[in-house]
Amino acid sequence: MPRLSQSEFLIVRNLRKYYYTAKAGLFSRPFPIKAVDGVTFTVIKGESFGLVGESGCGKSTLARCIIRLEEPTGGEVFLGGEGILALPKKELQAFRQKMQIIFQDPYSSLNPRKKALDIIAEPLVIRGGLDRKDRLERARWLMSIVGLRPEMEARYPHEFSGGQRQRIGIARALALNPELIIADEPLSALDVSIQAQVINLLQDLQDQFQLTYLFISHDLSIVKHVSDRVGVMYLGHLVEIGTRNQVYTHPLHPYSQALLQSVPVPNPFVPRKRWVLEGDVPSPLNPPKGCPFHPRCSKHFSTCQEERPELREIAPDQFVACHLDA
Amino acid sequence: MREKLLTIKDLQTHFFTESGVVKAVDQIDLELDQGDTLGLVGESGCGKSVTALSIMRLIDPPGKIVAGRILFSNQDLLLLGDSAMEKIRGNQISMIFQEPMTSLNPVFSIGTQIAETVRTHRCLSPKESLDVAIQMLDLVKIPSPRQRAQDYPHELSGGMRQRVMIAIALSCQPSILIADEPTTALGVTIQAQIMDLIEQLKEKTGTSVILITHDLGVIAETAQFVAVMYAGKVMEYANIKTLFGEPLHPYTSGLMRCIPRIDAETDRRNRLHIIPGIVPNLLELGRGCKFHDRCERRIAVCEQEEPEILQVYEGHWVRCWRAQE
Repeated sequence: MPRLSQSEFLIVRNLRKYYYTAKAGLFSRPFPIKAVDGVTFTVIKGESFGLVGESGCGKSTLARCIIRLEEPTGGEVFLGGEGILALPKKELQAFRQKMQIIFQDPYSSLNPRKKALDIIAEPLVIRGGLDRKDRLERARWLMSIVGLRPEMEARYPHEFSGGQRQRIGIARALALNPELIIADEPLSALDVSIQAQVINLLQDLQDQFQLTYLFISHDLSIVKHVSDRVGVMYLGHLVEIGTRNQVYTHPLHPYSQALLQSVPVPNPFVPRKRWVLEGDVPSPLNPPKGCPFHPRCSKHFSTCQEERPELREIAPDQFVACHLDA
Repeated sequence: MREKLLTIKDLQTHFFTESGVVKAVDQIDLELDQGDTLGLVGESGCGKSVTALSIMRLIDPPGKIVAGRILFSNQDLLLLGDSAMEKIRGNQISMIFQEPMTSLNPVFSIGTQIAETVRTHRCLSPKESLDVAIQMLDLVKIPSPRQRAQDYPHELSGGMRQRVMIAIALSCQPSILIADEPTTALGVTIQAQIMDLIEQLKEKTGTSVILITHDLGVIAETAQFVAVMYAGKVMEYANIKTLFGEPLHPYTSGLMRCIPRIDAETDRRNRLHIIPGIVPNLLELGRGCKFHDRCERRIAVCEQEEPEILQVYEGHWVRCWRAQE
């Protein structure tokens, strides 16, 4: 496993996305919803970085900001050493070639009026460089590598199953030969037996094309299986980063600990020795002062209520945002 | 010898669509013992939700319960008239659903909604039923229940709304609670809270539970008995330790082997075992075993003829030609 300083491919620094909403009346100041509130992490070339957290933690918003489907409020994103956020839209296309996204919902992310082959070939149309015959040939090749039979190329999305639609989405993401793929909950809409097929496919494609993955999911078992390194998010903040083994075996942040031991284990022979994390995730409209997790944390003390902890490197390549480790 | 609370025999619920007849539930037998949690596990289209709705007699056209018996409290629920069934639904058998937001009425306070169920089944005044509602909110551990009773569903988080659903479902102290994917829409820490709550309430109120889910982890931690369903049929039925320890149906074992495990030490280079193919289209089912085209253990007869479900060991039922090998 390379050390972090080598081959840093995607660098995200202090990324922020605030949504402004007027709370009450015409004359009150807008309240920000801090969906992503200062997130910093890097992804190494060739690795799979898993981003976990429960709904509302900001992981999907983060993904959309990185790829500029939404414009961040602040911060920086570098891909292969070059800054992305300041790029004018014209030049953004060059980066979109290098960085693609697979969405959660294979139903709404495909154009229902286009045939499968055309959906996959569409990025090639936009990006240019190939004539129609070559585009379709490449699209057919992409269909085959994601395991879709050639006789399906003229079918419309509604004629495919969920897993097959996800394969179309994956083929489309591969069309321009990207280096980084952001997979935003790519499996949540699929049946369990189909999830296994798509996980294996994503692994095979990573090996075949030397892809780097940012894999976002709320499913901790899946993230454990697919990731080299893992980041844990809570209420718009990254609270822990480490290798897969570090985070899953020795989680440092109280929220990571709570999260991991909440996962039900499919083994009735092992006694359940879980404690339940009480309370609800606070509203991002009214986040707690200080550490965002402190109201639910059994180990919090006075500093936690006042000061937001920074993400600090506690051990080589292991980061945690918690006053307990200071 | 424990009481059999609910016995389902030969249930068939079909949907008569323009494209053909979908046998969503195709001859299933199930039973629930007093004090147990029965798990119904399966992927989409397996019929687990339709089974639950059939028990509650909430099947609307084009669906119809075409055959079977559902024996509860010395009567066959399928023979009851509508008003007799209304006295049972929400009162003796209750149900909670996956999406608490769409199950709660957005224009009434949560206190009113709980009280409504109470007033429907018990002869209490509005004030008395509201008091019961507040007690129920306390039972499901909603803090400051008297104040929260006046909240509207949109003011609550997903986890809180699910607690309100549970409060409504248990307000008349039913003998059976049917929970249809109660935590799928919730985060994992909230899921743990809700499953824990259901367990505690089960002990406190003596309610038995039918838990419908696709999550084998949730099943392993809460169910005493499990039925694995596929394409409208029960493929395997056993107690929880037997099912996980010695699954006999290839679908059951396939399912268990293909899920990524949080308790496993796998390198990410390991490929997951897979069940090839996809869940069948219920309009295009063939003659043989519903699972045969995806089954790694299939033999010639599997394509021709559907196996019966047989008690291979005591209490362990399997629908497979090769179960006894």
